[in-house]
Amino acid sequence: MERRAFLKQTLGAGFSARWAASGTALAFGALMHQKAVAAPVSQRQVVQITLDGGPDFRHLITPDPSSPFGRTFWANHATAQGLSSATQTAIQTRWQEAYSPISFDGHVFGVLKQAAWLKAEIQAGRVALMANTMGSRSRDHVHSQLALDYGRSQTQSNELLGSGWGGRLAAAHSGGRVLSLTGTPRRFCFAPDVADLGRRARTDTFLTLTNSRASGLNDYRLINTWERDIRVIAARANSSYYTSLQNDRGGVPSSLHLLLDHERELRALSTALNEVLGSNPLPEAMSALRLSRDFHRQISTLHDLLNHIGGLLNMRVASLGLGGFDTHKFQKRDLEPLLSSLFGADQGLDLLFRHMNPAARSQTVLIIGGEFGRQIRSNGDQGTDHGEGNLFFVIGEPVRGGVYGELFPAREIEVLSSRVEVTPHIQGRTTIEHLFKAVADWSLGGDSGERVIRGRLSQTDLFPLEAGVDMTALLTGAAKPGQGDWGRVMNWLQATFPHLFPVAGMQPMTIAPFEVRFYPSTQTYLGYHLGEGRFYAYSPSLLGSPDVQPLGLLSEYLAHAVAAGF
Amino acid sequence: MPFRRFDLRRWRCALTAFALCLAPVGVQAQLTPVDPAQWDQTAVRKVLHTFAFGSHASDAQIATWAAMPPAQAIEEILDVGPFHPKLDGTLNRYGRTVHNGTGTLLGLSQFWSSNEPTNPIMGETARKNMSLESWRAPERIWTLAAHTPGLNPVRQKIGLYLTNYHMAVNEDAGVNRYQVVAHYDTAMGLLAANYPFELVLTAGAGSAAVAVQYNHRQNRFANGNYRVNQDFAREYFQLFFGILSDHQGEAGYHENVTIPNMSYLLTEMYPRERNGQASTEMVFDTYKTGSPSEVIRQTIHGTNAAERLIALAPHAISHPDSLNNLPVLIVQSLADDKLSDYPQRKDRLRAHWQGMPVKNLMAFLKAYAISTDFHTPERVKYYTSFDRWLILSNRMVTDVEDALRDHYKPQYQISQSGFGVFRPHHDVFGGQTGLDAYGSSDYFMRTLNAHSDWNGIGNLRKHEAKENETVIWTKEWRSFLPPARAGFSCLTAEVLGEWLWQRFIADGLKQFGPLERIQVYSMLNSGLDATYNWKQANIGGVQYDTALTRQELTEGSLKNYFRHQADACIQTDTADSIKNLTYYMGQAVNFIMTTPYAFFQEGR
Repeated sequence: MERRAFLKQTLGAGFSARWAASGTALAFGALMHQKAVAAPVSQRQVVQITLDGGPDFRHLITPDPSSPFGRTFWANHATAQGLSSATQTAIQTRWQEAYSPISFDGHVFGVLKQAAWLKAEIQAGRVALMANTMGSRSRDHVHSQLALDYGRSQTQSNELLGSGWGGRLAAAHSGGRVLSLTGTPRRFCFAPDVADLGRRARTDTFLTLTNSRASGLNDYRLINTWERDIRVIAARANSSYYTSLQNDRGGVPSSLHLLLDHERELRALSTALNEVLGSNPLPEAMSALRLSRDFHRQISTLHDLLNHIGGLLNMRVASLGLGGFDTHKFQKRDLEPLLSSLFGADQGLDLLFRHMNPAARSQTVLIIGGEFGRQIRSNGDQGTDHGEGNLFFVIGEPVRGGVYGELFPAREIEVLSSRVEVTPHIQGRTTIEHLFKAVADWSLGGDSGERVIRGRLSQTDLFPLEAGVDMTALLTGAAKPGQGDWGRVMNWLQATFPHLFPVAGMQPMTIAPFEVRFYPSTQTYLGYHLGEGRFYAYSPSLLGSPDVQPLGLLSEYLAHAVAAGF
Repeated sequence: MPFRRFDLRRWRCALTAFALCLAPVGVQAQLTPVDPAQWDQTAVRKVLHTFAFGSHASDAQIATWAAMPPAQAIEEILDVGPFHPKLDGTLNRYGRTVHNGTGTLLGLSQFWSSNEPTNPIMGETARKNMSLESWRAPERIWTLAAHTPGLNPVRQKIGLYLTNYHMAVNEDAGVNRYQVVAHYDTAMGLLAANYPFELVLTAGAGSAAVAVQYNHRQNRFANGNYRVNQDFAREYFQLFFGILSDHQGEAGYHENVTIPNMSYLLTEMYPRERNGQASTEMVFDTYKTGSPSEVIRQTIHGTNAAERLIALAPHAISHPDSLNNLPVLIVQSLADDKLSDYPQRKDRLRAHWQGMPVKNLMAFLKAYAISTDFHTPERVKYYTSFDRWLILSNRMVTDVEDALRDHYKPQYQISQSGFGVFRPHHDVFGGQTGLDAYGSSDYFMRTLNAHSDWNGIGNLRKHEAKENETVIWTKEWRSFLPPARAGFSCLTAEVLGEWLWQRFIADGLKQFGPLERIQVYSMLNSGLDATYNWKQANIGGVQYDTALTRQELTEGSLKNYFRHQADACIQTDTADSIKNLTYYMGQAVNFIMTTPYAFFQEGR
């Protein structure tokens, strides 16, 4: 395309939507004045599913009782399996009834049969089993959950106002957002203070969305056409009042600014979600899904986010949670339904992935783990008590499946006969920082430095890493941000029109539903609308218009870019 | 079957003497009482909002307390006995008897579910719902107890803290209704009788509710081995006493000695029955084996778990971790969500706690509630769903009958927010916290939306109730209203608005700015929102959506119209105007409760 044709197309367009000059100014609140269109996620997504209580993953991924390790392990773990006696016969029967043995990455182990989806994913090479991973060394739930949420193993027990590593990751993406699918957001979600990344910001853009199909503030225009209906009066007063406060945030104590953030985000939400989701019903199987502790609500909301509205909200991180894993008693009875809800065939994650669009599937990574592991000897109550290290699962198409670390360390056999260490557990060998940084690097498409995970991880005395574990090999596969087809077109436009789009100093950002590149030296924005598939430009001085100018469609430009070698 | 009842009283004197011996000499700065000049009506109201769900105290009583020396006033205010007449400033036009002399949850349940002629609960179903045989009865009874004048909202606030946060038990975890109620009543009985806090905690530790919650009722020595779980063995230290074991010096010892030995200590103790009243009685069998236990480096003697729990308590309460953490955990949970930002305030709390020869929770809270560390603008407390809906409901009550008829439905609203009493959101780690509430846009959404639905507004506007076309209840605001301002012949919207703001927000009008005032005045004058009124009257180009500014209301083009709304007379001279007063005040309160200031409290 010639420069003249490009400019003609640009200048001749009559599109009138104003594109705010500031990148972050075009955040979600702008949707109030635009018709919302479906916007599936197009960027890399990190989904953390926190299993509160400290899950006994040795109950899920368990050694073969006929192996030397397995023989000792099962003898000590039998009552948690519901066995009243640890005879070889009873153990073998239980093993055969409850577990599917697989050989994977040089290891032989059993996967609980109720977790059939997980087994299939392991065999498909989409699951990394991160062995001997550890957050806090404390076996205190609250303390260890803080460490997990903050992504910082050295967290002190009374640090209540820290930022979450999910919040820091989203903040590292310009305008990125965490979606909390638990009604009470985990500390994982909170963004960092600009001046102190470890501290929670006073203001935030994360959203709590427990039900994507029933969310948002009551809109007085939709309650009733009768203007003196008391509900209309209340909602209208509220709308006017909060708009006033939003325009005068300085007049509101900073200790309340998060409420203003909530209000701003929610005000626009109901209209936007209704518009998008109204024409995209939940798949029948997901509608019918019922899981332990209502976990299906989180799964169906995550489905909607990944498939329909995540792009609209500029989601980069999602936080899910499931409790009930503190299985001090009746572990078999209480734990297996939870594991089934998560990992079973036709259950939560199976249906989620089955109904996820291919683009989202290729860009989504799940991290599943709890605040600590459990002891490897079952207690006297058919359960297990608190331990230290544990497995973490990293799941998704971008994951290079395998076992990272020693799955069944021989040390544990020795410990089981120790008279000193009377509460034997899985030794933590790799701190969570290594895992989370690998995921953060993948999400950001490069080294995240200390923006997300703080501390120099090369200091292995503070941040142990199990020998032989290579975190750089964990994630692969998906295209890097900006290197998809629209990125190729942008690169081509930069090369073709360098006076408009000079590469030096270019800043990529997301202003949902746009992917944007900002060129500071020319004060020019080049954007790609993910829903429309169209490019836009904004440069009042160079394009002679105060409005955002529509350019061509991806389908029109791509051939030119390809032909030019991009 | 041999068993011994858990009798703390026998041990009280010995333990008190023990605690006195252990008490360190206070050398650090402790809590400082607030200057009497700062102890004003707003200060009293802040205490009541924090520790009594706002209460039903009259303006006159609040003024009386404000005029008293703070140390004297707080003794009266923070009383946790079953009844607190001074917090009841309401009418009783229908001559209701609220209780039959027992203010425990069990006693209230028995009375409210009975067929006694004085039982104020009306209707067979409603009475049946108050029986502990009914699902959710403890929640229903507690909420009504916290909401009904004549009982004691301070007791219920502290009781909620102790049994839903500090020593949380959960009906969803299998703890039955009798056990939950017994746990609550025992804790509050001991607290009201001024028992040391370690004994209140010890009673909780030995309760049937806790034994079922953590399942150490199954802990036993059998066939030469202990058959135990370590759940409560750990949480006894962490949750009850603040001994967190966070690897600051003795990690291996804690994990490999204290926790296992504590789990052995917690054996041979179980509820006498599985269900019913007898399920609240604990049996403490003589240990089948074992020499004295070593726990937290102390040798603990006793022939059964009850004796050893009592023997352990003074060591636990004087453990350095406990001395350091417990006062901070208590204040963070009850009154201060920003405490972690202020190390000096934490140090003063610790010093005060450590300096108390006997660790008496209420004495500590009384000292705190009149201290400069409570009455400081640095302090911020975000309200939980329980706080928020009960403050609203309690401050709405003008007659005992309002509460007994459940016109303001606090339990329903708390439930609609997604929370429940005796079903703590974080299980043994406690219910919804203030920070949980503040951080959740979902909770914010549910709350705001509740104020624009029929139930939310309709309840607050309720003017009368009828049965068979006969009026059986009317709302009575008039005898509570403030006097007209000097120079005015009538009560104006401004005066009434300020009175309402102080009644519900209790901040000395600090945040009652023009943006809030114009909506409140407009609601009081017409039951309509300000922008609607002004659009209808073609004033200043205002539209329904117009975002008004402080400047235009106080100095600009709308100044005169704003003043007009403020100075309008509130009519109360006809039947219709009285009815409208109720409607409009309800709507004004409804608006006030949607402002950000209804979600938190500042210390000053």
